[in-house]
Amino acid sequence: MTKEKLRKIFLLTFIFYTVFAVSFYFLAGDQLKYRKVEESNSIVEADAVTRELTRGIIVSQDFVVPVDNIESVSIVFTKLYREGKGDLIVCLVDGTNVLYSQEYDIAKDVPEQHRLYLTPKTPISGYKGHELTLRILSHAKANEGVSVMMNKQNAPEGSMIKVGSEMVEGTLCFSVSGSDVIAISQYYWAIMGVLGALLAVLLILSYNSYLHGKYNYIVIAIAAIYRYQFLISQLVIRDFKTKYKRSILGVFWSFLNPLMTMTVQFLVFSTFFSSDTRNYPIYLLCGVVCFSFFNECTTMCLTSISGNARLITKVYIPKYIFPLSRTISSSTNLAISLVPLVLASLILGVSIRPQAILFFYFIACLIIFSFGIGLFLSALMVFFRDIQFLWTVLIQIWMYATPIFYPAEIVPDKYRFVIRLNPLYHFIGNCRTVLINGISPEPRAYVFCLLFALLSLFIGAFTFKKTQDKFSLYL
Amino acid sequence: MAENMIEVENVTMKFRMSDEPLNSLKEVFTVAARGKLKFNEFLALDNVSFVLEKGKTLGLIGKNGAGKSTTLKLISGILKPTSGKIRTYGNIVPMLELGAGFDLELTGKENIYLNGAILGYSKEYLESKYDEIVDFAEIRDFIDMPIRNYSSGMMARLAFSIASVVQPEILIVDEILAVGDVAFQEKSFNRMKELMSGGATVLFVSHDLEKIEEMCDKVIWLDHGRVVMFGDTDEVCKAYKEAQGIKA
Repeated sequence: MTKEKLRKIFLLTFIFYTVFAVSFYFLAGDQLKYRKVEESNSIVEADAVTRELTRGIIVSQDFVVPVDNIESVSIVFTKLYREGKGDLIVCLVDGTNVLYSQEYDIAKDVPEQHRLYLTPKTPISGYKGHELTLRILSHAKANEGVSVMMNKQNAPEGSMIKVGSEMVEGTLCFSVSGSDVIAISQYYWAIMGVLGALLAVLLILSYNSYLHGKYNYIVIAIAAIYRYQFLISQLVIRDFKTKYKRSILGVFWSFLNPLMTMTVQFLVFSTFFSSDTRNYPIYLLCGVVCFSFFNECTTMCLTSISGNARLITKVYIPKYIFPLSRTISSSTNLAISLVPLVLASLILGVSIRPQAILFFYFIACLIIFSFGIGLFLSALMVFFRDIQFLWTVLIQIWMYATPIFYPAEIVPDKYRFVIRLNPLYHFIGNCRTVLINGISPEPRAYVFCLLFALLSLFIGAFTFKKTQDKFSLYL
Repeated sequence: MAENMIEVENVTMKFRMSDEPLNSLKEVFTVAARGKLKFNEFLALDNVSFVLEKGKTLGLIGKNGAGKSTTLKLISGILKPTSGKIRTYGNIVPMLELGAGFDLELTGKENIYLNGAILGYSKEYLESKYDEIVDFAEIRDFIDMPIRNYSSGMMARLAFSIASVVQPEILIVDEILAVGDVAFQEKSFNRMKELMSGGATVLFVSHDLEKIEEMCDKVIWLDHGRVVMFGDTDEVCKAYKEAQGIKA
């Protein structure tokens, strides 16, 4: 490898980082600055109703604002199953100052015992921790108006509802949802700048030490990949050619497989889960594609050393080449299976937004993660052949522990932590968010995914390096 | 003074062999539970040292299990010595087991590239030598056929052609000259000589003393992992023959 090549690689790395840092700022948009607060969105179960709101009776309740930006307030009404007629006005009040009010037509707008949303055009900000008043009034005639659902038993201590001029103990069935400001993101440019500077220093130091004939890990890794790229490409081509050799449809199977798996699972599970999930087929397909990759990659890596025993004991090749080439082969397969994913998304009405490009960040994390696991497994396989049977069981368990065909929300709260510890949940979940919802997940999702990937890579590489000299004795 | 191409310094190689093969978790547990987890150490090489100068051909002789193949594997980097140091200067082409990297499903052409890559050749080099390889192996008519349809002779010829097309600085040969039919054996033997005369430093293992005498400058005689004798070909071969004769 020449120094011009190395300089070019380093320069490209730095340019890539800069482009990523800048474009990420715009792609992430509001998600970089605000964090959705999910917890604030739940509504207490109703066990009572207020009296009917007629002829200007005002119902109001004071509450403490739980979020930085109020995006919507939802309230549950009942019309006692009548048609209803007249107007309904809901407002948010700070002392005497009306922050926002919205008028509804009872007959048309108010659903029976479902949420009615009050959505300010721009979020109401700056009231977190302050007390605001929710005020509801109506001029409906008797027997045509609405009542607000309320809860008396489980209401927080001391919460009072003012109905007309009397005070009632309890709380209205309403919730405030919105987002919090992510404090750290106002330092986005500073943080990315510092990281960029660190990267630049690292690259310059590496380059300098290379010029002086000292090779650090970064240079060694690049030099090795550069030196063995022909071998790696040949091994990948081999995997690819032999995989579909003698099959009639050939590479077309890479398209068909995820689609068929998705179809089967869709037929089986759609009745249970499709109502809770936005665009369930794509949700499913995204999970299937990602998990199949993980499954294929780790399983192929598992046998990559023991399956090439004849080569390893006869010719000197750096041994990590084998799991690496298998990972690259499965990644190629993944790339092919993204085509049906994109096509299906377009056909089934997912509008793919620029944010979908962030998909590749999480896919990259998934690939690094799988490579780490693959390294670990391939090393272990040399010493304990039982791993191959154990792994098929483990990956089965892992599949059911990952929300692939079911929504993560059905997992009971007390087991939620199991899901949260599962790296695949994060990779797959974030892939879905950027693809289906077209928005970036919150910033910490990126950090988590990267950490999971690097941790796996570190453990895998460490195990592999420690044991690789003994491979040829056990093969 | 000629420069050294291979330096082997006090190399010892121990294999840890258990009494029973421990290839699965269950076996480890059950054997450990019975308290029988013992390892026997097997000394494949015991304090072996030698140097080989540029352009010389070294023959390795000795009975089966004397440590000849282990020495070759250590020098080509496949094994790491338990103790001692090995230094090599130059690119090594090991002809240890020809065609180890063949994939039966691929065609002859695809296998030339795959196997060439495994042996460390560059793409450009393989492209420039492609015709030479095919012609030498005499398989041009079958080159686009999956090699699972090849005869074993064809496969061996192809493997030898790929391995010998390069001009290595250090060539490691482990009894591969008996490849193909008589005509091809002749051809491959001449090719080997050509490579050697081209300045390559050669390590050569054979049980065929005639070949050793014909090709080697120096011979090392190993027995049970120890160097019995290291010196000029005539001297060592004579001593070896005598030793064999007495034992026989």
